[in-house]
Amino acid sequence: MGAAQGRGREDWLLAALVAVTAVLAVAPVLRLLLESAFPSAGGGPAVAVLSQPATWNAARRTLETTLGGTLLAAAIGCVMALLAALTDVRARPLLVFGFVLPLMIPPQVTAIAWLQVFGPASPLLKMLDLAPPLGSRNPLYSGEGIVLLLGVHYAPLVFLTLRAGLRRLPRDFVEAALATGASPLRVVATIIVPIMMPSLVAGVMLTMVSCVGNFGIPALLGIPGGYTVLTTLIYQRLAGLGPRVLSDVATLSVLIGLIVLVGIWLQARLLARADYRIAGTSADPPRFELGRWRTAAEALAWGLVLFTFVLPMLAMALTSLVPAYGVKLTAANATLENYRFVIFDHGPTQRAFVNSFLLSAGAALALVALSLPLGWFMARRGGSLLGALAFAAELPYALPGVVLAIACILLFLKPLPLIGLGLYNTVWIILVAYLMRFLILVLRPVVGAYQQLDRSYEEAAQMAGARFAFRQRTIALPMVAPAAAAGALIVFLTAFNELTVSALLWSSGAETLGVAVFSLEQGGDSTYAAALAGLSVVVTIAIMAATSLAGRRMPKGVVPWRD
Amino acid sequence: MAGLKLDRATKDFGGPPVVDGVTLDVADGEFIAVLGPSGCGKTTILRLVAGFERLGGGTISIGGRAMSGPGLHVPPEDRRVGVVFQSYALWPHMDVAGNVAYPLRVAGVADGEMRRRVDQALETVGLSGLGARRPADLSGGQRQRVALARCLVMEPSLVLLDEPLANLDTHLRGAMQREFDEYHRRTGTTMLYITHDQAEAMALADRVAVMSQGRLVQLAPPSRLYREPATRMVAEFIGQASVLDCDVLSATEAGRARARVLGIDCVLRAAPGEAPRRAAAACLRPDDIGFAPAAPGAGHATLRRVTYRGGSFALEAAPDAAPAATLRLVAPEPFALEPGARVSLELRDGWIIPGG
Ligand SMILES: Nc1ncnc2c1ncn2[C@@H]1O[C@H](COP(=O)(O)OP(=O)(O)OP(=O)(O)O)[C@@H](O)[C@H]1O
Ligand SMILES: [Mg+2]
Repeated sequence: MGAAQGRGREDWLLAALVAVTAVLAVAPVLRLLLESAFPSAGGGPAVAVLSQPATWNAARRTLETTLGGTLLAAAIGCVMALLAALTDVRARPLLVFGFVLPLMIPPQVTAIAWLQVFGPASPLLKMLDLAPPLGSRNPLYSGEGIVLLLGVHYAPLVFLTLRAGLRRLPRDFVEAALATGASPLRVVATIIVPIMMPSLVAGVMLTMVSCVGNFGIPALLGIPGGYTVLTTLIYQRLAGLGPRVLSDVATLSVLIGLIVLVGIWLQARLLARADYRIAGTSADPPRFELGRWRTAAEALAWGLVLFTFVLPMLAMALTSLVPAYGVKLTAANATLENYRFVIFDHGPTQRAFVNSFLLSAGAALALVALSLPLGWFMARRGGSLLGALAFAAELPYALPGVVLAIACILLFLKPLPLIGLGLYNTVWIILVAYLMRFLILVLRPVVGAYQQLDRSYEEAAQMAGARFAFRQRTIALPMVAPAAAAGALIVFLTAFNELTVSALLWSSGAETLGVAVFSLEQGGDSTYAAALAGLSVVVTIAIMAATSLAGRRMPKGVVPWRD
Repeated sequence: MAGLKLDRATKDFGGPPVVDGVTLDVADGEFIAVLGPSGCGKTTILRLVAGFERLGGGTISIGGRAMSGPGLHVPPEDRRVGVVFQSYALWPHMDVAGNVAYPLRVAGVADGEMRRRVDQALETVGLSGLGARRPADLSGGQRQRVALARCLVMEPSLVLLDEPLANLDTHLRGAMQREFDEYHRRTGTTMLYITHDQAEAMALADRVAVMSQGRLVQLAPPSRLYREPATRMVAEFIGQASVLDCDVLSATEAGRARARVLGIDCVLRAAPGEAPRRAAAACLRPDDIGFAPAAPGAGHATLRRVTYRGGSFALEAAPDAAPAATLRLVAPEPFALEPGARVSLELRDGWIIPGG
């Protein structure tokens, strides 16, 4: 009797979890598909949007920048991965941290920082007296600029995927080849390159998908230069014409979504093959001793860190100290005035700090509360429904943020039926969008942790007489807590700096940090933008560093920038 | 105290049955070892009894109370069955005392009483004073003891152990075996002990259950199992045996029957009701077969392998009458014959396998 009741309560909990997750994971995608099939708001049929030249122009530019950015990212990422994973360069953990940093910097900040490297007001160029004359155009306001920044920004993505693949490469493969008398270069060409090919292709696909969906970089570089890609086209249409073009932009979103899904599908297939081929073999990856080339390799590695991270950050930091835009920075005129302004005087940024903090912390906590029980059911009960749900939860994160934002507008434009609650034009729509988008970032590590957790731990508690809730509280939760904490942290970091989703969903009073930085830069207040972006970078890096220190207790593979 | 009864217990995981109609009646206070090759369903039986798996068919009752059956599944937390896991399953986020105290915490035992009983359980397994250690800071043997203490503190009437010594070295195994034995004697707890070490099973158990492919093949006291295996599989699985084709020539009389093995007439032990038949099988232990060197061309068999075992030699020989069969013999040191040598045989004793 008691048993049957206990099981019944478990089932109710599961049903509630499934319902919430279905709303978060499935609803946005369904709504979007529905809209492009049966347009509700004004605008012509889907075909009309697709036949406009502006659409095809933007699509072509999306492809161009994506291809260029991906090539550059792959080149930089490959060099980084080979150096960091296969050679005996010194200070490797620090190097890995340095390589991964650009990825943790939000794209709009990357864009702002790089804009300060070139351009007539560049404090760096001014110091060297190399700055172009005032009034001339920043060379980054172009397709080439977008390609450069996409490449630099996403190189860490290729690096991480490739490095993960290389680290699975068993040492014996290489040693067996060396034992046959092959030279190291030959081993790289005949053993390592073929084996790492699938990881490389997977990393490249992932980068392409990310480039297609990127908003911050083409928005800050392309909009002033009149170079429009699909994501910025959606943004401009919606910002300029309002909800009546919703059906049109929904169609565009589906177009981007499809491009991205094809990429993800290809990537998943390639990764599955890669896993299969070298599954089950021993740990330690091989390391080549570089001998007298080591110093050169280290110089190259740190040069890359310098180029991809230090240079733009330095330019941004210097700009944030300039008394007025375009003035040459000297020791005498450097000032913290910009920081004072954005922290104390500027209402929107103050609100943005508070909003972004509450939104990201709230989303992280809510997602932990949802993922802990849901993850347990997914790992322990399995079944096709939960499997499908786990897959569906990937979608809102995999799809470009712009696409998700459009779906949210469609879902919440009208007050919710039954309860009559209107989320549109409030801060809550952003929270819901964050819950949808970042669910997988907590769910994935939590499910992984439960799966790694031997069943016998919970069975031993059962043997001792502990019932479901007590067992969860005393045994299962404490043991997966580190994974949940790591997931929550990543959600916090990502959401805190997020721009793409909130750019379309924010309303007055509900600005986010990303929107505030973006607006300042777009309004020409580059010094304030640089100060604000600098603050957010400092916060991000401080949290990352703290995590790395605390990360020793986290399960392997949860913190991306840690070995 | 509680006996354990399995009646035609069956379980599958969506394929062929993994536990297939197992009927087992364990008396109160009995120590049963479950023995069988890897994958034969031993762990599954234990998990069915503990309630971690749902029974497919049949019934299981503990202490006379039905636990699993058609439409019935008492969850593990209500069975009060102690389990010692092969992996120990000690919770790493609690110290030793926390692990041992857990069942008492669940039962809502008061703090003072709880501390007393935890100390007592730790003392019983010889771990007094280690309560504040983390499981990670213990040796394998100590972890095993903590797992045992956690189980003892519940004062269960039935204890299930799944290969509890598999992860320990030989020396430690002996010591822990003695402790299980002593604990069993002192408390009279019913024990179901899973192992695939036959020496361990023979040393500890009142009766040994041999399983094969999900079925219970034989349940008998250790010496019976060794001397009177019920099937060819048991004969080959337990100890060293030569299983040979034989013709039964007479009915059983006073526990023995005449038979012809390898063309040699002999008198073997036989089950009651054995009748003359052809193509039966006999199990001959090494001690049952006497042998002497023979001249080339004479004798009954050719030596194939000679393996030194420390103080004695294990021999394998191919009999002329059945060249594909293997005879297992033992010879004391010193021993001079080489593979290829001819031997003559004397069949002094053996067992006619009833089903074989
Ligand atoms: N949860 C499960 N799902 C599917 N098949 C299972 C499951 N558990 C056990 N099996 C299968 O049931 C069979 C018996 O498994 P079991 O673990 O009971 O064997 P065992 O006798 O304990 O073996 P070992 O000595 O190797 O521990 C095996 O073929 C196993 O693959
Ligand atoms: Mg087993």
